[in-house]
Amino acid sequence: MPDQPTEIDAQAWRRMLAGSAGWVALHRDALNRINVYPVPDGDTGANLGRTLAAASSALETLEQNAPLANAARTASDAALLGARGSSGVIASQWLRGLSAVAAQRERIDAAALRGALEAGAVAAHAALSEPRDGTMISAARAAAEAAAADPTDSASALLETALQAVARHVERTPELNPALAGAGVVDAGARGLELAMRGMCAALRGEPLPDAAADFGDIDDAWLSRRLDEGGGLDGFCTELIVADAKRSDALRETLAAIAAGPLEGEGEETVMLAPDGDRLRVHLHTAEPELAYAQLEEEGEIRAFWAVDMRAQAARMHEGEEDAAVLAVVQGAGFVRAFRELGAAALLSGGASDNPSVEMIRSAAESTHARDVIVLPNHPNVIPAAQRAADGDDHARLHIVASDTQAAGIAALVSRVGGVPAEDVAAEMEEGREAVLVGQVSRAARDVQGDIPLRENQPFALLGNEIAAAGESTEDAALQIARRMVEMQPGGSLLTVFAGAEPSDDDAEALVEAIAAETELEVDLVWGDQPHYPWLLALE
Amino acid sequence: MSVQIVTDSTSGLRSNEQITVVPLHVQFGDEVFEDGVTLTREEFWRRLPNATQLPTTSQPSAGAFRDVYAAHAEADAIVSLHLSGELSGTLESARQGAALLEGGPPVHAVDTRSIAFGLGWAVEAAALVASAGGGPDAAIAEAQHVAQRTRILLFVETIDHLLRGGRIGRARHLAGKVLRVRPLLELVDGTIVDIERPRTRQKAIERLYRQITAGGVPDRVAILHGDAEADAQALAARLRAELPQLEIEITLGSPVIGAHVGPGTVGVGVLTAQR
Repeated sequence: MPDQPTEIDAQAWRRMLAGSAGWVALHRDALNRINVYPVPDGDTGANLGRTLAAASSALETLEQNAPLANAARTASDAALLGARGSSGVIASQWLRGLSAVAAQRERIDAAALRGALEAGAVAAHAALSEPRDGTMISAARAAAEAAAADPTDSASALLETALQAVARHVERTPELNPALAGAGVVDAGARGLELAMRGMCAALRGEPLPDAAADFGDIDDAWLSRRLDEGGGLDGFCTELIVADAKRSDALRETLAAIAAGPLEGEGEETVMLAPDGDRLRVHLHTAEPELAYAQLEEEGEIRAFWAVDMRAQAARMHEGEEDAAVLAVVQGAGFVRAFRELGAAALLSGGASDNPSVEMIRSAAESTHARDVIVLPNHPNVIPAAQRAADGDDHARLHIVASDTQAAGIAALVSRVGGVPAEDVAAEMEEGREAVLVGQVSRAARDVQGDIPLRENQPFALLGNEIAAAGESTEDAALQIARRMVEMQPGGSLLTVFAGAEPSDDDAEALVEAIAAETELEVDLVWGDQPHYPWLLALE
Repeated sequence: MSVQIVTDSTSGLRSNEQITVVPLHVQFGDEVFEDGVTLTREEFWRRLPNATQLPTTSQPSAGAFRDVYAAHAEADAIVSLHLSGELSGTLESARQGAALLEGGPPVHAVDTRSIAFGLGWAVEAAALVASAGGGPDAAIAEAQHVAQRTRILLFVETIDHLLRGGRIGRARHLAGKVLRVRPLLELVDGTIVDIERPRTRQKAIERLYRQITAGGVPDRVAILHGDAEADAQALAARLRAELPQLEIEITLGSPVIGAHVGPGTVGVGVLTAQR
């Protein structure tokens, strides 16, 4: 006779989270295959799995006798930070609602669990402005309502009741959402929630993971090819941001809805999710121009994480047999987001001088492209080690690291990409493209520096590789000096790209470009990178 | 059996006894010219920098095709070979012209899915078959075989001209990009696709060279340029240095093609080696 605990304590909570992560991970591919709504980009299982795994692995590092309040908060925070895709964001919100109730107690009895399931449903619902039925959100609502109607005083029996309600709701999702009926599948997100709860119930009863995954069928071929032909909802990037110290301006949702709708003709609007958590704000949207969301949220607070993946490219690899290697670029600054996107990067991840992506985040972004081979552009010396570690033993994709140490070098590499050849050869071409470009960087001294070229604190200076090559009276002065040096070092160069950062004004940029053009024979191309820390990045090819 | 071959002026060919070339039109403001007939290549490129309005182009009329077909009423069949239907309505005009024909020989209007050298070499091949007494089916098969073997590659100084003319295929997404590129384009199954994005002309020439030689030593290479003789010569020199036995023809782009690709373009036709 398995255990039927009437209350959930900290240990049980940890087992429940591990169980939910385990069950979803087991069904990752089965869930990916039925991903239809809002767009058939085939990543519900992966996204939900990553989100729950983040919560579960955060608990593994928490000390064993930590009280329930700590365990609940730890899991909730980790899920919020680790959430991927719309299903991940909604799941993290649901978990946040549950955890908010759990965090106030030493153990959860049936009455508290009723409250927790209600709070979970409310939080999940709040992520979207107008959530539709037949999704994870309505499934969470069904769980809360069934729990409210069940008078049992056993928490595990109550969770079982809620699970049965979710399971029934999952079967009804095709009635509630015509897209699902057309595709001949149930909603992947709702099914995912059912699996997460099934994992929780099984863990509470002390049951092990099943040996094999259940099969939920496949999307109807004719429906899928029609949908892919129409392009509906797939032209754009699935975009996530985490903003710290967010102002929470009233018009934010509206502004983001406009950015999402833009060129997507209304399909993107309903994907906007805002998930507040303390002074952090998590944002999810589908947009053709993720750089606009990036720029908007820079106004809103401090961007701590940004992640975007090309849904068209996802679908092409998932459903249409596209085999070319995907490119994952680590970026900083709205202008660079745009430049890397326009040049065909399939996934973008924020990082650079600070807030660098973890090994896990790099793997997760690489996996989200659905490509077998992913070429990674780290674009900063601090990111290269994590990228290399991510490449060792990633079981979802083969990662090829191009050792770009600046965003300017990353652009040079991406421009050199060729198609139709093995990924190793593409990476080699890109590596060659990166090496062929000479990069100069202008920054400001963090403190006084002694040396051949002494610097005062905050003084503009220029870097060539790791060497301080010039000190300037202004950033433009330093940039002009470094441009001269670069021409001497690479006399065959003909095109100088000036990437203007977040600091310079339009007039500054224009004046610098004119000054360089007047002194040299070079063609000068001004590109706004909007990068922090480096007012100017110069690339000579 | 006598088979008459007809094509359009994007083939780059001139009319002769075996081949009749129907010109497309190019228009500067109110002035309309016949491609390569009332406006030569040299005149077009001289005129372009001073034009207040950029030139536009149009397909031959159905009537023009009907008249050409009617003029060959003595032939047993007419094979009318044209540029890709994705790029121009010329093929449609040819089909309508054939439908307007009362009596006369059967007209086979064929989309070669190519343009320029790809079309020109296909037409020459078809004419050879016809002059050896081959029927229309054999001539068409030979033309299609040659067109399929011919890669059409080009890089443009700016994508703007191609965009303005429409019919640009997947490469249209290059418009309005933040970064300056000289896109390397290829005609793939009749539509223009960007295959690489070099940023300098020098690199574009190098990439073009690598594309030309990627499939082994080609049987034939021809270069067409938009008033960019020096770059065309540089590419030819690069090719001759590696492949001294290769004969390379260099020509100025025709008015209709020039109006679509713009100045600074360097394009090639590559007849890939027979497998």
